[in-house]
Amino acid sequence: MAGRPEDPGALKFAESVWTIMDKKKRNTLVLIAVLLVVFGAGALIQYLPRKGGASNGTGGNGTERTEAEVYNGRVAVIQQEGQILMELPLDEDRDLIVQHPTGGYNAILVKDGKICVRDADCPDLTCVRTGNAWEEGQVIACLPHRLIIYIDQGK
Amino acid sequence: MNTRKIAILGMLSAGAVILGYVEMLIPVMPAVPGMKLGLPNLAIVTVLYLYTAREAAAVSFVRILIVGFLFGNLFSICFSLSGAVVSLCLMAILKKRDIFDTVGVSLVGGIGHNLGQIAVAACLVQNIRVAYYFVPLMLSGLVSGVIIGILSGIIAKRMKKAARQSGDGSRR
Repeated sequence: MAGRPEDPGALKFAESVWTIMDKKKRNTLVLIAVLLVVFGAGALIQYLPRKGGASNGTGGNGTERTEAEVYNGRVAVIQQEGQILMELPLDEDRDLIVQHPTGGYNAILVKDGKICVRDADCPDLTCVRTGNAWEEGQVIACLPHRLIIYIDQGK
Repeated sequence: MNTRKIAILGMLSAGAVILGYVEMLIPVMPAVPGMKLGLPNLAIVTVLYLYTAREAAAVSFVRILIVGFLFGNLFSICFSLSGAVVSLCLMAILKKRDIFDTVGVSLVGGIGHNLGQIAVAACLVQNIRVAYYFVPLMLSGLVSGVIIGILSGIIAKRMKKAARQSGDGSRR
C-alpha cells in the first residue's frame, strides 16, 4: 500500500467491470477503442505537420501566426466538373466569379493570404459557410456546382 | 401490420422529422461542412431494434423526404439519401450479426453516414480531396454515435416492455 495504492485496486475494478459485461458490450468497447485509435492516427497525420510548422519560431502569438500564415508559394486550385480552371497564388488579392455551365455562380475572394467563397447561388450555401482556407490540404467544396477549391503547395 | 405497429412507426417517423429539424437549428461547426449531430439516427436505431431493417429504412426514407421538401431541395434529399443508405446497410448487417449492442451499431451507422456522403461528394466534384473532412466528421460521428446508441437502447427496451405489458397482439 506504500508505493501506488490505487493501481491494483483500479485494475481489479476494471477487471470486474469487464467480467460482468456481456460479450456485446465488450465488443462495443473494443470497437470504440479501435475507432478512437483510427481517429487519433488520422488527426495526427492531418494536423500535426502543419501545426508543427506553424509553431516553429512563432513565439508567443501563435494564434496570429495561424490566421495570417506565411503563404510562401501556396496556391488555391479551383476545379469545376473535374477540370482545373485556374491556380490562384494566395499572396495576390483577387475577387472573381466562377460561372457554372448550367447558370450558377460562385464569387471567390482571395484576401490576406486566404481564400473563401464570398457569395454563391447554390441552394445550400455550404461553400460560403465553410469560410476561409489557407493551409495546405484545406478544401472548400460546392457540390451543387461541382466545384472544389483546395490549397496546394506551389512550386 | 397491425394498428400498434402503424402507430409506433408513425410516431417514430414524426420524431425523426422533428429531430431532423432540431438538428438543423444547432450548428456544430460551420467550418466543417456536413458536421451534424445525427439526431434522427436516434429514431432510426430505435426502429431498427424494435422491428427490422425494413421498417428502419421506411422511417428513414420518410424522414428524409419530409425534411427535404420542408427545408431543403432535391439536391439535399439525394445527398441525405446517400449517407442514409450506407449507414442503414451497415447497421442492418451489424444488428443481424448481433456482435455489438446499440452503441456499437449507432456508432458504425454515424460513421457510415459520413463515409457515404464523402464518397458521393468526391464523385460529384471528381476529387478525393474532400476526404479532408473525414477526420473531423469522424469525431462528431463517434461522440454522437455513443450518446445516441445509449439513448436508443434505453428507448427500445422500454417500448418493448410497454408493448408486452399492454398485450402485444392487439388486433384493432
